[in-house]
Amino acid sequence: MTWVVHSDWLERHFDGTQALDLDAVLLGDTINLGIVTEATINPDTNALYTGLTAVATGTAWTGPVALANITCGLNGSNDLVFDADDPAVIALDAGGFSNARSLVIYEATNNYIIAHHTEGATFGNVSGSITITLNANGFWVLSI
Amino acid sequence: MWPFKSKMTGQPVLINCGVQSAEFRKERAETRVANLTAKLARLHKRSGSKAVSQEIANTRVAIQAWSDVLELAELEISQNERGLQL
Repeated sequence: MTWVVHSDWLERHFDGTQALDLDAVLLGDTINLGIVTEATINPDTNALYTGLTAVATGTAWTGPVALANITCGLNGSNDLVFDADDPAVIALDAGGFSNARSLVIYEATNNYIIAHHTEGATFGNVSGSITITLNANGFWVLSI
Repeated sequence: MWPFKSKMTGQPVLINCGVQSAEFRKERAETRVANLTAKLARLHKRSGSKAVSQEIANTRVAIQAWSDVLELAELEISQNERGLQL
């Protein structure tokens, strides 16, 4: 299962409509990780995080979290890599959620989805904690 | 023909796959340290504002944290190798 980058975001990014500072340096853009119930998210038509169904909040999961230590730059092979620290473990919470299906990363001001990842089955934190492990190469790589 | 062929590739993500191996944690930490160090270099070129100074401080803390992860993973790998030899 891999992250799927959204075409609307790419268009906005490259045509200057909303060029994000993916290093979170100059413009102070916050990029969030959200959890939603959708089993299918169309990267060409689902543009906004607010258009999706977020899982219920509880004691452990209180809603989307900001990605920490985001990096976006060239690696040693001249590929552009977008990465961040792995999100914190979401603790077991009997009053949590059990119907999650997808992860979404989006910019927090306008809720534009950058990418999403869909699991093969539902998951939740009602009967156990949730650990999200990013690939060693981060979220996505733009090979040039 | 254009002299380049670009491709954006989403990377895999794992959910609830248990504790990752020391080799995976080493690879992940190496990547993070490299990316954050490169970010630090970009930040120094932009330095001047309070926000950038804060980001430089945050990035240094992150590099240290990932360096610690890397050191522990390498230690674990070394101990595993010694265990195999005994």
